[in-house]
Amino acid sequence: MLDISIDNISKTWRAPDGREVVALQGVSFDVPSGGFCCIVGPSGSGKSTLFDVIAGLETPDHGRILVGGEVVERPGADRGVVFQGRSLFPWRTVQGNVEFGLAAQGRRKTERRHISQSFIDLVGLSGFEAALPSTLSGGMYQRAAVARSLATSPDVLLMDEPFGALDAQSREMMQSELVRIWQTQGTTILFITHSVQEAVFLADKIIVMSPRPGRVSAQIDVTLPRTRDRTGADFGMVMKEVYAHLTTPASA
Amino acid sequence: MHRFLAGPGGAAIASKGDFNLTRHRASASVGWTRKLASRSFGMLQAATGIAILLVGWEIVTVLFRPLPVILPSPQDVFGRLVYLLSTSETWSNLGISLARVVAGFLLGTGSGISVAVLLTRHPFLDRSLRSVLVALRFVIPFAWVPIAAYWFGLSETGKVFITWYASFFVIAFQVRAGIEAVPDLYVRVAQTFGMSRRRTLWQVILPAAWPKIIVGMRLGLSFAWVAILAAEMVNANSGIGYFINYSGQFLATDDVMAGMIMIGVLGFVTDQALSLFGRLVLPGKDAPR
Repeated sequence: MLDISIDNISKTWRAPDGREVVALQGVSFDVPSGGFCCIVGPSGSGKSTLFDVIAGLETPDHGRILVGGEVVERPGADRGVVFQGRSLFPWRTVQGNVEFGLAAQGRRKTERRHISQSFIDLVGLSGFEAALPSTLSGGMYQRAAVARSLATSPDVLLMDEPFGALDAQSREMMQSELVRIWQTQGTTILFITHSVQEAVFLADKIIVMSPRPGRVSAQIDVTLPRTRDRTGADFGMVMKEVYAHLTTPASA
Repeated sequence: MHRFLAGPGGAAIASKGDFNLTRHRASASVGWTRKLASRSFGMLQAATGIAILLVGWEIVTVLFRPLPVILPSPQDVFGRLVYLLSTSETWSNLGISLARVVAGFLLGTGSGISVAVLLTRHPFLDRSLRSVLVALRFVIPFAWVPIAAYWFGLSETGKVFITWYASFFVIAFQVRAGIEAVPDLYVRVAQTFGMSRRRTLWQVILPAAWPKIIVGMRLGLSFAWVAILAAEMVNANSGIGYFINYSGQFLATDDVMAGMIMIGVLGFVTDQALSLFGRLVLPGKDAPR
């Protein structure tokens, strides 16, 4: 399990009309090893750009990302990624999808079967090994995506609004499941979301981002005991605190 | 509201999973019988189309009594068909045409897919070759028949050149469109697993483009059939196109029509075989289009 250190990241995009859009400006924070960190922020606060930089899919203009002390330059097996949207390969079965990363690593077939089965069981998809993604419900679909990312045993799991497309009830169920999986696997998780409630339910640490330019406006440690009660008074207090930083412009 | 909490959530999920599992199995068995029913219904519909055609044809010949040269009756044509199929000459003509089509089609598939991959990977090649490829696409294979005769004479190479040419362009363009339509997200997923570009092509891009590849191959195959008939009518002394042309010169319209039926059936069978091949290789009806 590795820690993540985001060190003074800046990234500017050039729009087609030639104007420069500052997506990220001097973004710094740390996620301790085995921690669960949520990033919340409105559209335009650079969440997705930051996600791509940490995944190694984009390079920052300034600053660096350290995962376990190593500088991130490209995608790597130390970081598993769960995307928003329909990211499973529709021509592969659930098992075929979960084995994808293992095949990329050149693991043998029997080993792939064994490992993929354990992660399919972990996310509660036993019995659906042979199902094609199109036959799965939204929640089951994202379970398979989580299993695929966990199968290569990454030290860090990066999740970009993975439950954004789910109905409210499946979403809450998936949040509980993710906490359970995190507690059993001990993986460091960095989770991007629009939802304050989701962040407060999941995270040890919430990074609140503000838009134009995208920067960190607050870092909030959540010390509520697990399992968290979404209707509890203390839960509401933390939500209130997050909202306070979401609505005020960045001061630093 | 304890059902929103994580602890019991695990159990709740398991039971939901079981519920979905039973529903999934049930729908799978229902789906099988329904599939069988719809398939036999589909065959019935296809048979109805053929029956309508035959009855209409019969009515026309009975009512108007055309000369057999103008329009022979179904009975005459089927009589000739049965006779022709009993001769080794017919089978050898069919075999020769089939071999020419398949050879050109396989070459067209290999080169078409390769060129499409090259064009999508190298923007410079794409920009420089696109205009030529688009222009050549409009030059029908038939226009090449005389040139193929100068280059290759009566040899098989000339026939295969024509069927290759007929299938190559449509396959290359379909595959290119298919590759361009592959969602970027799939490639990003492969990148996050550290997959190499070459491997991503084989493991992600080509499978994702497979439905379009099969469409391109089916179109290419049909174009190859059309082209070989034209080529054999002009410049050949074997093959089913040659047979049709030869029969036409002797006013044997029943033989001409028997030849047409043979081509239709053979084209249909090869098309269906290709379609089945596509589904066997990747059973993803739901793959992106």
